[in-house]
Amino acid sequence: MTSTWISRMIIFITLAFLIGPFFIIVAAGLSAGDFLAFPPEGLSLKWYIKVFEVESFRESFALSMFLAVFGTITALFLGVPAAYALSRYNIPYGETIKTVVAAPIIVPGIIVGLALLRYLVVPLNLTITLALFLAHTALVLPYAVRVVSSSLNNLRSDMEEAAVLLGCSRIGAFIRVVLPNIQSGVLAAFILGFVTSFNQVPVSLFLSGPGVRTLPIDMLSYMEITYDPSVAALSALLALMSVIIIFVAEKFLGFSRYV
Amino acid sequence: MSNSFVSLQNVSLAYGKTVAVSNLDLNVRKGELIALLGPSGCGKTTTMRAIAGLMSLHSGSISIDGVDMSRTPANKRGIGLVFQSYALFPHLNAFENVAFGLRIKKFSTPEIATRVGKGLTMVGLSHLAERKPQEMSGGQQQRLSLARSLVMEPKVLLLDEPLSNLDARLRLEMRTELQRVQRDTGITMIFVTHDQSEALALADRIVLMKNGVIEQLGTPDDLYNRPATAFAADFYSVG
Amino acid sequence: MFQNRNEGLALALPAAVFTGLLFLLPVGILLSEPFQVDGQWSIQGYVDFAFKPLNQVVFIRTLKLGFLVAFTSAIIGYACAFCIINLDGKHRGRVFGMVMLPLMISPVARTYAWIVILGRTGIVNDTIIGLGLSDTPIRLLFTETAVFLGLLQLFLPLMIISLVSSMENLPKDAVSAARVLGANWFQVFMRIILPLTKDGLVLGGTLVFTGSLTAYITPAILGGSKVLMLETLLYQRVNVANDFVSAGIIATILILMSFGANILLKRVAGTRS
Repeated sequence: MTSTWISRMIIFITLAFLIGPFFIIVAAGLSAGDFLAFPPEGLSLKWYIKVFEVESFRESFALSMFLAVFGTITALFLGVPAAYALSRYNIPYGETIKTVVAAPIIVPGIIVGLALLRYLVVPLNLTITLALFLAHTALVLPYAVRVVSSSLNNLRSDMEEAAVLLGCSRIGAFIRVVLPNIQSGVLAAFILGFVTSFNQVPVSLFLSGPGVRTLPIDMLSYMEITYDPSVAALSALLALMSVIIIFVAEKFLGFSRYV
Repeated sequence: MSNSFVSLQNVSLAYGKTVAVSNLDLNVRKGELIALLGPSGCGKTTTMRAIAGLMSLHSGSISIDGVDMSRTPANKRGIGLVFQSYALFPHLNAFENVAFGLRIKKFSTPEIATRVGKGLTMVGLSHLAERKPQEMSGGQQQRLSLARSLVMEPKVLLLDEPLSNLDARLRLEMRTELQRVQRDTGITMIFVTHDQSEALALADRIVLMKNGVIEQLGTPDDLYNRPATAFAADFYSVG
Repeated sequence: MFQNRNEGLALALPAAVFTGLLFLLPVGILLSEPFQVDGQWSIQGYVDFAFKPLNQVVFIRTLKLGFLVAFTSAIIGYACAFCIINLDGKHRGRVFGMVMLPLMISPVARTYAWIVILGRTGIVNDTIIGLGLSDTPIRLLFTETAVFLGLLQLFLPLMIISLVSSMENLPKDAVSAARVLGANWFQVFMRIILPLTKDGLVLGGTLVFTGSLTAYITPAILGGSKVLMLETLLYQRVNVANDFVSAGIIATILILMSFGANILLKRVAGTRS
């Protein structure tokens, strides 16, 4: 049937456009030559190996990991109570609070980074790491609230009321009834926050300094100096990491329900 | 056959690799009310969609009023189809739903008003012309869907399970309605159903299908009193 | 049990205060800076900014690319979404997953591939020279086209997802019914699909448009200083000239546009019956 054939072509071409470049990077990173080229001149893993040997990459990777993990955890500590409050209570200024918490998504990251640098970091003499940590937390918070809210909205509140009537304290009810049921939502929020923070560039742009850089920023500055395939290899590895995380999340959590 | 109005010759239909209908021959006479009857999966709905042009033929040919329509696209066959889900357009009110096909054909505004008015009156819905389909009952929606197809004055009217979604009372009403429309307009009607009593009550002839082939083709009397196969007998056994 | 509103407020407050102090306050100050000239409130900063030709070029270019990317992604998005909707369940899930996948990969990685494709020794140039269409490599990087392609690739998934989601709510058989009533595909699109998927289009369009306006990485890598967009201009002004006034102005423009788009979105979404 011609229409199915056309249909398949359209999807194929679109997917090629969207995902093709990923395969190109993987292949370019496998180049045995010294320059970035596709198709690669000969195959070699040397660039993939080199990625692990560059010290600044190792350090910035560690920093990005730290920010992603602890920033997201902090965001969850702040965000889960907020999501709970917003979905169960009719709090005064509820709409305002919702907007405030969601604001970081609307404001372009680069502005956030600059503002934080000028008016928080410099005046208060904060360390760059702390500044990055605070910024990443603020950035992940809206996602955390949104995902957990969505999870909470699907959970009826009469369960908690039943638990309380059966003798539980409020906190007890929360821990025994609510938390287990929003577990996958919280996990989904963690993964989403992790990926968002890890891949974040604009916010970190102004806040990063020599020696203290997130991985994407490090890659950008490396690219200003040289075009060798190690950036391609690193990009490929990072992409692979994200893909694996999401794949695992989908398999075990049905991740797409919450996003 | 020379008096065949809708003719399917050696038609085979498939979904990918799964064969739905194989080597079907069927001749429907002009003005006839014929039922495609059978259990789900027998190929009756697939056959209906093929007649409408919504499904392409794996092999064989379909002609309507003597014209080969095998490769004609669905929007040029001059056929009406009342879907089981009614498929009414939620963003348009009743009037506009019925007027849809007329507007496509670029009828003049007064002409559209006349035809739509007649169509709505015929199904008893003129007082609801401004309503949106979501604001109507199931029975009203179905009649609206019927009116939408009828105003196009199609050569053939196809109906997919027209009575299945209705309660007993509405079913009786609708049955009478369909028979009346058929008498008044003389349209050739083909309807699909899994309910043998519906087929018995309404149809001039019944096409009993199973697994993509015709088990028996005949009048209600034929099928009820002279079933050709064990399946047919089974299908028509009471209780 | 949830009557004690203050209790709820207490739970939500830490998050709100955190974001407010850490985020809104500094940004607010940044935005107010351009209004202060020599200790006085004035809009002179804005006036000066608006009159510089470079700023005008960058502003128009950013808007232009934003609209182009949104428009192109809408067309491709509708085509793709329609095909996806017609797939059966198993395939649909897989294709949908593949469309969403790029969103989870770092924009640096996604943009970087274009260097390989569009560079002087890249795929496109190799093909062009190989086919004899040109003797020397054409400059494809650091052009508006490169930025356009990069942005399109970045945001197309958002449009597709948005459209698929809204097309799933099309009444079953509505398209078939329209076909049987005589509509050709263009008419089916204009009279049935478009009116009924309006919300998805606006959501997708807003996301793509604001995303393109506020993109940094892609214009930075693919446009460099030859093809400046508002965000890369901002970075340049601060890093090179310590020009915080311009930074504040650009920031305000970007925020206003983002905000405006979001409000438009809420309006349209809210009018859904």
